[in-house]
Amino acid sequence: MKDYAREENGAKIIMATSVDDRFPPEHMLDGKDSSFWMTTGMFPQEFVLALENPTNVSKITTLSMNVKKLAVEKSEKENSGSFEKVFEVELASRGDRLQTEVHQVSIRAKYLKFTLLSGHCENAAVNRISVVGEPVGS
Amino acid sequence: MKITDYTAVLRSKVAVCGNATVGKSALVSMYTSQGQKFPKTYSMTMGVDIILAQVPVPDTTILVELFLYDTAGYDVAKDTLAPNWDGIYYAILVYDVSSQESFESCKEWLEELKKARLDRERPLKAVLVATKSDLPAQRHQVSNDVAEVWANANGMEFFAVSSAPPGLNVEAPFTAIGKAIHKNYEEKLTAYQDACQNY
Repeated sequence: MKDYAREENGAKIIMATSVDDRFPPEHMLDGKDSSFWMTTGMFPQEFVLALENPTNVSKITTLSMNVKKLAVEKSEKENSGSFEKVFEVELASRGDRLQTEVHQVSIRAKYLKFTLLSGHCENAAVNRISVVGEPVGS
Repeated sequence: MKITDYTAVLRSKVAVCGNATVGKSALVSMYTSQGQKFPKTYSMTMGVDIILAQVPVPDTTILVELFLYDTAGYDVAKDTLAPNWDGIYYAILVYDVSSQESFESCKEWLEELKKARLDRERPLKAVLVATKSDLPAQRHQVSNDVAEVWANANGMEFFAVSSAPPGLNVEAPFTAIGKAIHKNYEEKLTAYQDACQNY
């Protein structure tokens, strides 16, 4: 199955609330678990993932460190200002080890907004996101 | 440095505590206005004022944004403050050199702040600031030496400042807190990088 949250598949991060040039949000789309986007202090933190085309999404996976509460919202249309909640989840603390969160969903999305509502420590990190599904109309 | 030259912006909440009229708001105002705004008349802070202060970390391209929780210094307000300190691990404790009582109160403020921590394992990083250092020597009730000894014994750096224009040493406590936040961030980064090497 194709991972639509990869840079080579046309995905982009169009907004992120934390900036450290050494750990840019694009690190979440490079397919590697070893690189990450770092949040630089305080919560909530957000980023918006734009898929290349509207997609029927069946699975959303996040790999992160020290995230406590995570919410995911979606928007179907090209130019829509509003988002609808997909899921919200509380992640257990694993110290400085990876948290893997897999959610089976059945949604159509062009944009996905990830909100880190709280963390297990001051700075959380997101190593990778993966969005699996089918192109709309297939 | 221009804002676009910074390569990272770190953010953190910082409590500003101390008795009423020691000059907490004046200190904050002088720092955030780069010496341009000293409040000429007294204005009592009710509850909490939240002020953003930008601190460049020396010798880096990193900017720290302090969300200063400038709290009311009156005793009656003390109980209502703790909820605002939710998740605060940095503080600027302020006393007035001409008031022994305000120095003694810093000990209480420190305890209150420690109690308010969400994670009791995590140390509170604070600095101690003596304001009104420009007052003539005969009006000083607290000696800098005594204050510095107490500060160091509690893991704090000590700064004697004067907020009255042109201002003396006003940047130092903010820079110290900014550096501490930066250090904490870099340590976390290194820990994450080490942890991720094997993935």
